[in-house]
Amino acid sequence: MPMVTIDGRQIEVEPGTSIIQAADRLGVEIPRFCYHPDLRPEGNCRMCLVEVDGFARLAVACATPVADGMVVRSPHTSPQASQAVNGVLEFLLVNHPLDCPICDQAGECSLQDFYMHPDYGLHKSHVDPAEKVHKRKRIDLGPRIVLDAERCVMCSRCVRFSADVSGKAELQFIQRGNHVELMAFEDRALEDPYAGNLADVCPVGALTSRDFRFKRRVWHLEHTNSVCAGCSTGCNVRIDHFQNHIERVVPRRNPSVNSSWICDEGRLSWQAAQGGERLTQPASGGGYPPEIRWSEAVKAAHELLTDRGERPLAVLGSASATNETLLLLRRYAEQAHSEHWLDFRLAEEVQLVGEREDQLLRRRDKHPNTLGAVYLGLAGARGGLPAMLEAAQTGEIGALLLVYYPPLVGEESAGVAEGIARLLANVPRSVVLTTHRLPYLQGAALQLPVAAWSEEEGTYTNFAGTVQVVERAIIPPGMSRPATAVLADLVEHQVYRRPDADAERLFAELARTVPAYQGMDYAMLDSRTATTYPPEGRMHYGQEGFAGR
Amino acid sequence: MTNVLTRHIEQRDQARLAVALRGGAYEGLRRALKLSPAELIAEVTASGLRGRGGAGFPTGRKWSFIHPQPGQPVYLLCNADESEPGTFKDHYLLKHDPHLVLEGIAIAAHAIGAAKAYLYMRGEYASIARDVQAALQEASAAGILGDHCLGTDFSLQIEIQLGAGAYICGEETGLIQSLEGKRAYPRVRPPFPAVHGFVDQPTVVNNVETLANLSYILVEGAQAFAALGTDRSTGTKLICISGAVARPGVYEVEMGYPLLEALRREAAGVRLGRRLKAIIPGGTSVPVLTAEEAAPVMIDYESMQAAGTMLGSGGMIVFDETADMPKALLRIAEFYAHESCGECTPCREGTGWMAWVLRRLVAGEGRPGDLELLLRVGGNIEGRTICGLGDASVQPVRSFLQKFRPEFEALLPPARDAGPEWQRHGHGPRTARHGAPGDEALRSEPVDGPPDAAL
Amino acid sequence: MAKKASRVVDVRAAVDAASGPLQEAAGTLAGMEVTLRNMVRATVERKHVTIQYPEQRKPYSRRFRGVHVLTLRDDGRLKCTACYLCETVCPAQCITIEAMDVEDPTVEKAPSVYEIDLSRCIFCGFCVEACPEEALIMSREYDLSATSREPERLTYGISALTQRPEIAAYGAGFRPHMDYPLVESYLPSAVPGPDGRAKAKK
Repeated sequence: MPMVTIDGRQIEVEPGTSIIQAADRLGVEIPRFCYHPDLRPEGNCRMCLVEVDGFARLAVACATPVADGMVVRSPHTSPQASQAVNGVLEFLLVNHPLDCPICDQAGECSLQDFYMHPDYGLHKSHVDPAEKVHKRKRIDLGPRIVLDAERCVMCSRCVRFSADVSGKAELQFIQRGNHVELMAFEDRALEDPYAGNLADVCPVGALTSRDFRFKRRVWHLEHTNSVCAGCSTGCNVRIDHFQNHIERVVPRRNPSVNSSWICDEGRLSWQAAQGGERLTQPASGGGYPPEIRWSEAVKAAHELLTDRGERPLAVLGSASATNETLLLLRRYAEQAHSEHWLDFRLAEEVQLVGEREDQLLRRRDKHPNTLGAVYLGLAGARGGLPAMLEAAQTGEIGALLLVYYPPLVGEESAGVAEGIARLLANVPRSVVLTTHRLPYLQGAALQLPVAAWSEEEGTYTNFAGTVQVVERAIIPPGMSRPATAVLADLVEHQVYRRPDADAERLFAELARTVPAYQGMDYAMLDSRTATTYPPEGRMHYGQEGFAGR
Repeated sequence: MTNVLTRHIEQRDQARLAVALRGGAYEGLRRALKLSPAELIAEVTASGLRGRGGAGFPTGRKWSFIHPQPGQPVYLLCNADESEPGTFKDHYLLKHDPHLVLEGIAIAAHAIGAAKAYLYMRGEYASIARDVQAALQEASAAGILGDHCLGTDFSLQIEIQLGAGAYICGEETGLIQSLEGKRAYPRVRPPFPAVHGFVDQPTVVNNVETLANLSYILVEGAQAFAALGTDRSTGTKLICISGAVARPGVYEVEMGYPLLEALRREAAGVRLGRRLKAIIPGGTSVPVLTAEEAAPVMIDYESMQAAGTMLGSGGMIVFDETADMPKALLRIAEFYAHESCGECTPCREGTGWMAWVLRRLVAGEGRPGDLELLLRVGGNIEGRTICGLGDASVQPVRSFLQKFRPEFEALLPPARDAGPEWQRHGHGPRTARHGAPGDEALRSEPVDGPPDAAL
Repeated sequence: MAKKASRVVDVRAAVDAASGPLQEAAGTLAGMEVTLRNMVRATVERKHVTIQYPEQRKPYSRRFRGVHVLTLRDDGRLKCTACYLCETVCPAQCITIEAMDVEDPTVEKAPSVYEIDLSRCIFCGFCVEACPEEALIMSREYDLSATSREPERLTYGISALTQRPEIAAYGAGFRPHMDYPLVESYLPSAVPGPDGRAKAKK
């Protein structure tokens, strides 16, 4: 394998690796606009110029494959490359508007960051602002994206994303020379279900997300790594939040799951989790005060579920719950005093789990953890919701514990909603753990508010069996608590010993007891190692000063 | 002087197959088809033929880079997107002797094993494209081209494609992109077209004039061709003389012919008896030569290189003593600013910036330091672009500024007007440049318009 | 190490010895010396030390950092472009901005909400210094009080920061570029008078 030296540090890489990839692996920061690890290299921005021993000219690091014994010097160490990159930056700023304060990209703008870099930025401008070429501003490209052609640096990442990744090919450059500008044909609204990624790949403020635009300056945001719960793909995301409010969700790069992309539905799924009418305190139907405290609520739930005579306890989990929640749910069911009926299926989740909705990311199973529930043995022989409903109608079920999360992408199917409503109507002793106030859950004897996605920590097992960590970004609203804590309370009422409700310890138990997770270590799970692109904290110099906010 | 390319150029109706065949057309192809591709490449290598598009790369070597995988198609693209300012030789060849070019295409296709060749012509050549199409059909109908050329196993489909009028389409990979139906953005090399070219297959792109030489090489032999010209620049060259000469036009000269001799004998000297001021010897993208520098220069690759310029495409633009060099340079810079495809940053922004600075210089609104700024911008473009257009745009700026600096300095405001930088911006003092005597002379040019009209 | 023998001083005895009715009267008078002197000056010489606030007020420095003012453009729109720099720099975190799209395509954005919680503001002036457009300046208004702690009492929004009559009465205070004249129309209805006091526009 070729051995390459970059800035005096050596690395061995596979043949065909480009210099910039080798440098990224070494942690040598080579400035770039057009290079993106998940797009084909185009080499048009000329920012990644490096000096290579034996080359007559500077080479573009993104499109030059490494050769054995190659000695490369980045702009950090090579005056020649530094001068060249400085020249390119100067060119990029010739016609770029200098209105960073009102540009929504400020704070996460590559152009801004590179200009401020002491090794190759900070040139003195020789251009009169009046001489700049002006282009169109604030062009509406549909419900997701706003284009400012003047701020474009023509890196063509968006064009390549649209042509090669999402396949819609809706963007192209028009005109020539310094009048080149980005355009969607006839300014039509983008129909791409992945259009949100265009704002992510844009290194400057040309393509901005309509949903996030002007909402918050990025240096105010706090970041939490998570995994999208919109479908069974399990795309890695980063939740950006401020003052306990989610402001946006952006994809995190994980080549084995979602590359650097996420669908628009998943990107906006946090609105479903945070929006709607959240259940914020324990609520009960007949016989209990309308709003009760947690200690009373757990006691009431315990009584509801245990005083059921000889009839079995039905426990219906959810494929949207974390593995840890499902583990505690299973333990609760197993420790029930009589026969129990444990399942999680509402409809066809298990059959749909791997089925694609399109060629890129979306899958038809809109639950993030179907496979996790299967691995935990929740898909029993007796069947899920339809079978339970049948049994309930003949009075075979004594009590029901239902964990239910409404889908974050799309609506719950009418059949499932109706099935749940009828099940609750047929089982008078029912406890529901849920996030939202939903009409079809109103028949429950007791509803307990639990944390939604982004409000609790845990793991999901995606369609391919990859186990990934979701971290807690914000605090659940009102009195809601993580489902693990509620279930731990219930188990405690049963066996007078409180189990661990901590995600890490619960996962350790999973790794011990469930064959599919044999030998896994919470700290080593994929989601912890996947990276954001550009890597967080490296390109965003603006964050550091306001980290305390 | 031996004519290689223009033997039949004045023959009436040479575009018609019957007339061309009487002149010996397709004789070269007949001989080429008797040779194996390897022998053919060896023959052309022995002839010393070098690419006539501008870079002068040995044609035989270019062909020898083609190593297709078994079953992989190979493409030959003939570059007739002749957009270099001052160049009009391919137009001349295609118009007057299309069969010579078609024959060259067929010979080259045989050498590299291409079954499909494209003749990519610039959009402005639409009228001659019809004639070339007619010639092609005639030759195909006669069994010379198309399936089983001249009764052999070799088959070749030639397709004529018109561009839409962009300079960048004459660039090798830009042409390939354009032919694929994409925006003509040149590609980053490596990979080279010889490996990943047209539709990602091995591809050779040759200039029209290069291919037109092949017939002669096959008919008369590589030795006869190599005997023409100098040691390293063999054969002849079509030169296109334009500008301030009495008889502008396309002339064929043997390599090694003295440059000024060609001006004097072929183009009948500088018009109106004026003195020669400068000459751009190979299209606007090569450095200009002053009259003194041009004196010892011969028309061949090495002599041009020794003089610090290039033979390029052979488009020679002549300036007489009345020429306003800043204005001429502005015209050239505006051409490159307009034709920069906008793909890579230095060329996209730099060409426009240089044109902007020159525009204000010529308008009498120059600022102190503008000449240094031009050179600095040029230095930041040069060697940092994807294709040669960036370098091409810098060569004239640098050479004009170096060789005619006093003319540019005269456009700058007097030094005492120089205030602090922030005050100077946008308020450059106006000088009375528009009334300068040089301009008057230029405007009252009696014939053929001002000398820079040819640019 | 041997302890030093301590000496006991009877303070009370010393005080009693030095005290008497005369001494106490003298002490009181000495303590009121300043008051009495100013009383005489005010009554005899008519030189007042205090003023009749709030009817009378003292002129303050041109650079006084009082309650903020959002300045206006010629057409009456806010100069503020909702860049959030003031919010970012505010050490008391008392500025809240929400931006919105506007009709005019040449304008990037404008604030739909601009609030300063003056009960938390420390009047450091950083926000004004951070503003790249002189869209936020300070006035010389200093008397700021409310009769309750309800947040809305001392949280000034766009209308309060642009249209309070007090702005006109007190005039402009601190701005980062004091050397440049303040464009009159920037302020909603105030013109700084020659004496540094503001007078209301007709």
